[in-house]
Amino acid sequence: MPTCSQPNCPIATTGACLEGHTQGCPYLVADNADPSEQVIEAIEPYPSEMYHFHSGEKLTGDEASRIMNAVPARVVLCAGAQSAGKTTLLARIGELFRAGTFKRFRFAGSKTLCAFERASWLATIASGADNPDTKRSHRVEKDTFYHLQVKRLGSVEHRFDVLISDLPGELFPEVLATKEICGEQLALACADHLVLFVDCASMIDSAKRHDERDSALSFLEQVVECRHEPDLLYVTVVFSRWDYVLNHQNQDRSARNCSSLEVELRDRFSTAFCGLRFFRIAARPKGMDPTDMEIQGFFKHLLEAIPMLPVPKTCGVPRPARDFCAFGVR
Amino acid sequence: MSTPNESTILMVGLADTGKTNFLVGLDVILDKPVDQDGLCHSNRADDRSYVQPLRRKWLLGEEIGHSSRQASKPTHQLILHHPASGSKATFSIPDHYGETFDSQFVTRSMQQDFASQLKHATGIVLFLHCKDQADNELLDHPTFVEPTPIIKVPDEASDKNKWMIEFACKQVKVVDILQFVAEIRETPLPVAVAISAWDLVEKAPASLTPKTPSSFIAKQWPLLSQFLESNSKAFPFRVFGVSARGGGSTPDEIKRLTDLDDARERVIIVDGDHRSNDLSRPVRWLLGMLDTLDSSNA
Repeated sequence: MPTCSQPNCPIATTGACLEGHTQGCPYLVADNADPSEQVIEAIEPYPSEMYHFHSGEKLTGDEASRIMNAVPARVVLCAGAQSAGKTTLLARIGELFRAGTFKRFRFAGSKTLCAFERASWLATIASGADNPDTKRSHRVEKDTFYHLQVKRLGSVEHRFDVLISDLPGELFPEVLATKEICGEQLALACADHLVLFVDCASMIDSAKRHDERDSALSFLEQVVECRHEPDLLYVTVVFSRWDYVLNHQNQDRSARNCSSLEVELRDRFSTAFCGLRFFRIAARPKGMDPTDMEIQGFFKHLLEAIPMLPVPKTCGVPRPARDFCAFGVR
Repeated sequence: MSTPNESTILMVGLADTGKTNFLVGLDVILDKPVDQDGLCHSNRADDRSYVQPLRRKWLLGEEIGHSSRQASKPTHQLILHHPASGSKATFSIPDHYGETFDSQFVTRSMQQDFASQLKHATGIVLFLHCKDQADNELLDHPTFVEPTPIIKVPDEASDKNKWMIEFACKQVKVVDILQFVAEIRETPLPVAVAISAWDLVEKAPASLTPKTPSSFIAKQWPLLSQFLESNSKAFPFRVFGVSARGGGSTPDEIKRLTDLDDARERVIIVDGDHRSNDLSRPVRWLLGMLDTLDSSNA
């Protein structure tokens, strides 16, 4: 265990640096202990004098289950191809709460504030990035959740807990390709709300738009076939990176392509799901302001489209349909 | 305040938010009651080794700098007298280093004895510095450019831009620390929010800076403000604008401060529509001794 030259630093006993450094602390003393001592230290139990809290990062399925069993919670899965803007939209929602911009909702808490900060980091000046960007979600982040607790403005006690998962883009083609992988997505199995991202950067490209269109239709087909009771699922389609349409030299034609896809999705899926709605969003646009009003409308829709089911009175008893332990997690 | 039981008020705040200045200013203010309902020292605590040298610096108008983390800080004890009711109370106000709270956020943990202090505290004074930026500023996209290839360079290639938990913005740190507190507490914990260096807010143009503490926090620290409003049962709160030093540290400012006949007149505290030198108001509010009618930020 390392030691510190500062007399009050607890790093030798707890591993926590007095100054909060995770690495590079100037006061740290090199660890020259005898290797045999290190073995003894390694098998000692972790010191109990520290009180530990939530990590602040995205919740695991187990952690999300605890929230779902304790309070009425809305579960949302965002799905779409890589770079479609899923994480960027979630980051923007976090930014709007940090800026106090939401008109109808007030921030009441979040177990994943660090995850929201991480998602926004490359869009901040402090990051040193030249242009705003978003770190993409990796495969290992599947079935992890952002958490937000909000209160409706003017309501005394009505809170909404929202758990939002973004399906890593690199998994999207696999979910499209095989029913088995689609069926394995725990966040999809327990979601109230599925948000499908259609990337407008692809929709304006004369070659890529066909594949983007096909992916959207195929994905929803796959969900209808793989998801238990798809008619209980509310689907929202987000035409993301809408700035690509607005800034395109042939804006009308690009917008028409999106509208035509919207019509086809309505025709094919409006009865398959419990609801279907469309938004056009630019969360981190180039050459214009983000479509914050539309983002606020989108967030309101996630919370209010379906009535929030109360948690059964037998609090603490997992509801199988809402609990990840029913899917083999834990 | 009718029983002389010892209670604890905790000062919570990130580094350089004015906690020590508040403690020393409070010690000076308590020399005699500011008004007929005010508080004052009853007896001097046995051990004033921490606050006495700082008090001398404060009276000389010197800036109380960031204290060395090498030295341990004993808990300062205040034995208070409320002349209007004749009652006494003893309070401990530990002056924890700002880095302690940063460290709690980063390590997602706190010492059990600190958690125990929070569990049993009468209330907390939460310090924010008026000049601190609550959020990390966002970049603007320069202009629209034609679509870039969807396949991007892997994130790992740009390690220099990697997020570390230390980079979290200040209001996220403060809200998360309050969420830690909420996990520990079983009963409501009153929070007196102290926006320090309030003299700078008063000097700033009205078009740029809200002039009441509650509107200041709502505009400058929205996430924290909304969190407190949404959790007002767990954290009953009131916002104060505080200038425990009363001004800056330039030679002219120090002369202005020391020229005042009564050193206590340096202090500024703003609480809704109320403006005075009574730095004990946050403490009185935490003790339930402050009338609520004059507050505009309830």
